[in-house]
Amino acid sequence: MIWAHSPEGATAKAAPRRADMPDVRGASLAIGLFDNRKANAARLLEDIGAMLVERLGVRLLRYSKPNASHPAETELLDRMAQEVGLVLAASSD
Amino acid sequence: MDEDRDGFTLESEEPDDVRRVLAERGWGDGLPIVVPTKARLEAFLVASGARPEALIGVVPPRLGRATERVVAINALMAGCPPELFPVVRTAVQAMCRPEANLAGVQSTTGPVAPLVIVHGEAVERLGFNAGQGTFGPGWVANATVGRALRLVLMHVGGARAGRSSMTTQGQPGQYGLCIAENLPATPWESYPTSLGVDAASAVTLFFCESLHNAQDHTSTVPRGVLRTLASMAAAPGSNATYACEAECFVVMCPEHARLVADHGFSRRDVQLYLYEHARLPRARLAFGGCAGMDSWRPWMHTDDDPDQRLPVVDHPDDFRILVAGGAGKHSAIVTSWGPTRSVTLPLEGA
Repeated sequence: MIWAHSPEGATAKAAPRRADMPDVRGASLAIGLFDNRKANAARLLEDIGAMLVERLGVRLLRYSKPNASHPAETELLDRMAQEVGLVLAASSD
Repeated sequence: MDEDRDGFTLESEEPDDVRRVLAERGWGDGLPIVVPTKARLEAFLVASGARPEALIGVVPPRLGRATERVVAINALMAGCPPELFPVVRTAVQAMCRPEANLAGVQSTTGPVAPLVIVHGEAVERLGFNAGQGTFGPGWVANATVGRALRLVLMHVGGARAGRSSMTTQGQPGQYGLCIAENLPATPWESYPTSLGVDAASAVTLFFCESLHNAQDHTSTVPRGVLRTLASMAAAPGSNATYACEAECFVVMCPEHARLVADHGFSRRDVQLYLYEHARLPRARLAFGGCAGMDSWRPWMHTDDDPDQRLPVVDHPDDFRILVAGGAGKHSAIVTSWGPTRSVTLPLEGA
């Protein structure tokens, strides 16, 4: 047998995960719709958001990036973390 | 399989065994690799002068830590001789700079590839081909440096098509794309010097679309050659046309460069000519492509004249002019993926 090195290496520390999943029912939960600015992302998110409002009664907050090709700014990610319990992201061509 | 987090085992180095292990783990670019055994890596680290624990950057989306050790493992797998490691290290450092937008590059649907350009005295000393066929196969340095970058993006960054890399078609340059500046055939100062990078050798990293050949066999005056180049740069289907951050590398063959220089054109003159002539009418840009998804400057939205001709880059400086290749009359237009900037760094430790 031959032993060889992995080409992947270690990963940087990821963002902490919440231990508890938020209760997904009722207006106490705010859900973020995060539009990545691809051509049909907003349409997809709005349809899903409408279903969530109808079935679960959640509140929706909307976010977007300036354009599709750049990552979200740290400030925006921090704001979403403060304002909503869950974020739905869509990338849709 | 007997393994631990930091390694893997093989029955043998027979091609079938190596292919099977790579396939099981989703590694490799589909071509044979050099197996990074313990002995080979130790020898590579010593010969290359790598500092194993030094962190070069973090590669998204996997957020892999690109230490010199893991980059060396990938360079070794790519068949890279150890003396080329400083070039690979500098290119990885460049691609991890924020302006390169590596997170976007690694996840886009676009066909983006890292183009490495080597400049200066290291070109000849390390065996890079800056002349005939510089973009093509046949030179160990060009082939393995380009391939090493791809393996780092795949293994450390986790970019595998259909999983985290959403590239719709990809492009052949994703196997490896490394050229060298042909300074002896350049009628102007070196490319890094033109940017203010003062070093004996340097490395440029540019995330690009597929290159476009721009041949002009008949022109005897600069405007012929430059209009040919401009016509290839002005492409409504290019992602770069709609991105204000985009750059366009104009890799001129020595004969085209000599023709324009002999008529008094400086590098700056070439940039200004292309900025004025590589344009598309507003009405054409309003259909298809990335119409409505652009990141243009406000002034490009202000006028509503459908015949207004808009530039394909934001500023004349964004035409990046350098000379590479050998005899013949074929230059190359290399447009950027779009929202990314090239990075040129001094080559150290080579």
